[in-house]
Amino acid sequence: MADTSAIIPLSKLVDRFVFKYKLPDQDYALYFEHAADCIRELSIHAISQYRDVEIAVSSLGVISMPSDMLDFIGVALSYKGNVWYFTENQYMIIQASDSVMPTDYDTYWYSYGTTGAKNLYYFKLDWEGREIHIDGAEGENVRLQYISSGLDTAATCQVPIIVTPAVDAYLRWAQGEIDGESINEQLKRKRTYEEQFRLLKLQSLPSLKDIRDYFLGMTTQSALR
Amino acid sequence: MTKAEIISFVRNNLKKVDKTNKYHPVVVEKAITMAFNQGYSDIFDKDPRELDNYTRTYGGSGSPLTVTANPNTGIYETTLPVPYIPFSDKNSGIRNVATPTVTTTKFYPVTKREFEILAGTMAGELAGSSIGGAYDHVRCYYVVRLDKVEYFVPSTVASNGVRMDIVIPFDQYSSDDVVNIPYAKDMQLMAAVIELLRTVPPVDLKDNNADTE
Repeated sequence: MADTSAIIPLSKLVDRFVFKYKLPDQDYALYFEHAADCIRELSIHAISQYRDVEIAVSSLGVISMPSDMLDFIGVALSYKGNVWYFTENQYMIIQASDSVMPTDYDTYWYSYGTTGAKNLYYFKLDWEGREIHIDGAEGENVRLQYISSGLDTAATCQVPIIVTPAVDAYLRWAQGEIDGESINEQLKRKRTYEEQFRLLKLQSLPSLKDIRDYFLGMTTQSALR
Repeated sequence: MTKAEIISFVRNNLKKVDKTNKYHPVVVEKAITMAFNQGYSDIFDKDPRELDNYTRTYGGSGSPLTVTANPNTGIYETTLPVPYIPFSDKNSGIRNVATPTVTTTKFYPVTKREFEILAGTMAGELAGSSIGGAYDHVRCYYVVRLDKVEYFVPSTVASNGVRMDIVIPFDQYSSDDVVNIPYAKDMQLMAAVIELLRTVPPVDLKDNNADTE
């Protein structure tokens, strides 16, 4: 049965590339490696691999960054159907042992997140240690929002099927280098990839309806006299 | 044709001096094996995928080939059920390895060196993992060795065993096995076999104790 899903496993995408171009099985692992590089590049520059996951904060206030996390968007608690973002505190002192966190700035709160300009939840990013230190939600589940590399080792790595032309073009370019094609041929394939990359970026532009709503949102309607 | 028919055809086209054991069946068999290997090699040079027409499947009749972890290295491996004809790509004579039944898990060949570094590559790390205990779209890799195949494979896949499509030498077929003669090379291969055997000088048939014939 044909796969008509909007997202497919990366492995299947590489299968299809090898299948379409009558390529030998023996180079599959090489193409898979290049495909992973391509997905990472597309995730950063062309498609929004936005992830919103529920993640547990340890009793000591530490979140381990997911392995596919490339950039940080926010950390928040969900309350009554909304997310309430934490405040970044660059001055939070992280102990060398990692574990002993400062006590909450306040011992009481009225609601999640900010209330009356009183911040109760703080975070500090430790990119080197790949950890997020939380002050205020120790032992709780929080929402972590981040930009993913699109390469998830914890489950079958899924990618949007719309990246197929761009990944195929990237792999053809890589194939040219592996096979020692002429410089002209390699440049031709590189240009094809750049064209596919450009087309893919167009997909992430806001729709006409979004733009219309944006303009209407800047106007004030009043009675026409 | 069956293997026995091919050997019979060759023997019937040789000079009738067989009472001297000049064309012993084993010698004929080895000569055909050499000629067929050349024929398979020509097919490989044309398009390696066409070798699939000349493979035999092992582990596909309800009894998968077992995959076990080597107690010393920890590497999963299968002892080959038959010898194979080597070719100059990573598959060599093991043209295909698969799960016993058709699944989304696929096997691809790598070199021994690639095998050793796979664990540190995206191809290895994203090869697949457990989802609710079941493996889905797992990519496994294998290395063809002299008498065994080694695997980069999750334990769940290994425990189910594998089936293999192998290009085996002519002398490994049983007498009544049907053997596919390499495509469009019937005349050429038979002529090569007969020519190979004809060049063997005749033995001295006279019992006269002379140094020369």
